[in-house]
Amino acid sequence: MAGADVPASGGGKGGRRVSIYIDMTPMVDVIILLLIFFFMTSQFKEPAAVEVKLPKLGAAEEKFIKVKESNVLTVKVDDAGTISIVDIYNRDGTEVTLEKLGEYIGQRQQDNEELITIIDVSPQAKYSDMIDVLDEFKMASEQTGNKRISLQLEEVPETAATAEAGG
Amino acid sequence: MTTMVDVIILLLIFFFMTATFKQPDEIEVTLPHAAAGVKIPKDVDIVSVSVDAEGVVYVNNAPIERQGEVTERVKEARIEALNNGVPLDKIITNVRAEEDVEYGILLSVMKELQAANILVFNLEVQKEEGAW
Repeated sequence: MAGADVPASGGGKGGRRVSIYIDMTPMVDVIILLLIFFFMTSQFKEPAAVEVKLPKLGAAEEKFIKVKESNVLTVKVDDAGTISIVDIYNRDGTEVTLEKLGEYIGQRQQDNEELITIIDVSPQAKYSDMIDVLDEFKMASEQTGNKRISLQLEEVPETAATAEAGG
Repeated sequence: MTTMVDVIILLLIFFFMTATFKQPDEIEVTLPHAAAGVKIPKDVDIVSVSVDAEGVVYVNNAPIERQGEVTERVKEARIEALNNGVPLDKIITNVRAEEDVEYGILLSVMKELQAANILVFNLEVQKEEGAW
């Protein structure tokens, strides 16, 4: 009640009630303009993509590239989605968490510019596990600039698995 | 209020008319999340290979029944796009797969793409952060 009263100092006739009228039109105009602006500039849930490059089919048979064992880092994902790292420091494989994996890849890439990361995911694992690993690699490689990655598509023949020792 | 409602209704009509609706026959998939995803360019012709939750593979929304069909169908789709006047470097291949699907299916899809001599393709993901 008191709020509707005009203060005594405001008008001459104290106590007279004035109905409050707020003109909303300019505000609504501005809101509508804002709406238009956001509608025009927004993009709805745009899918993103991770680019993958594969070698030519049969390239492995034609040109067998030998790689030093010290330049290889294999990330293995088993059926259950457990991630393990195999490289010269962990020949038998060490289990890691996803967070640690990115860190480790980044560190190894910084130490060794020629490092090739092999992603070897079990066919029984979930697709999202593979994307998680690929994502960690991409994040690490964005910082180090090392984009050398190899996706394991085929079962590894024994000769290819044992990379040139004594690197 | 009347004027405001009028304007809003006009706006509504405008957006309904101009909106590009998602293709109704597009295969529904929950894409895996990734932070490293890059935007898919707009001015390209996309050949999409989808894998749904049941593990069924589709090329441009048509289901695949046998092995080796992905290779053929992707090649066909690319030739069709070429015939429609799309330059070769504007035809891209996107793989949209359900996140929980077995990786083995993706492996065979990738091998079939490799057999079709498509060595560069995109794995579609959902960007993890920054919706805007």
